[in-house]
Amino acid sequence: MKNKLRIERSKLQITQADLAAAIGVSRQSIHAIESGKYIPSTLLAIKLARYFVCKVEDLFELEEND
Amino acid sequence: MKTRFMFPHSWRLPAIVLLIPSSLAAAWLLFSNYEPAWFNWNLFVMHSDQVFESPTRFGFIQDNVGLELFGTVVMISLIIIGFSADRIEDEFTLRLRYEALTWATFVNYVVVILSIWLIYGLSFLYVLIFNLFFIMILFIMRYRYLIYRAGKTTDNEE
Repeated sequence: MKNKLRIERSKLQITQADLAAAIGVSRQSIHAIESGKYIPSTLLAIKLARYFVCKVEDLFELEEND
Repeated sequence: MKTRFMFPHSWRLPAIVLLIPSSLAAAWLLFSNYEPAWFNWNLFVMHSDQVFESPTRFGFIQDNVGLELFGTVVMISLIIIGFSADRIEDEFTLRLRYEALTWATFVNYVVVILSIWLIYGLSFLYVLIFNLFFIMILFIMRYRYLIYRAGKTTDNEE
């Protein structure tokens, strides 16, 4: 699964730590999601989408092998 | 994040403080065979069949409980250290816990199976005693390593 978290974060010029604090997760979680090592739960995906004021599908995208 | 079966984060440090002296004391009692007299207690037991004594079922025996006491403290400390929440406990750290516990279980049983075939006699008894604690030790070390590794890569990319 691809995601545009890093791009959206850079648009707002916030660090992983800032985003983690705003969402209420660890900085490691944000890094793991951005680097594709971890696929977040529906709850966390919705929280992230709300933070960036977009739809979940705008942030996360299925790949062919998913 | 609400987590079931987790102790508060504040419990970890006291557990570490308890673990160090109790594990040293347990190891000392185990390997020195020293049995302090103040640990000779009358105990209710479900079953006891000690050497040179007739079996006891649901009765009282006298036993030196030093190892039992320190062993229990070590086990409780390890469980609290392993399952006390991190400062920020979220779904990613829970996944790391799951991975660490799975890894620890596999490694533990590889060690047990190897020991069954390679170690005999009284030494095998020590292996079994050590094994009571080994899975938790492996789990804690693996989980801390995964958290450290995740944190280290994060530090490089802001």
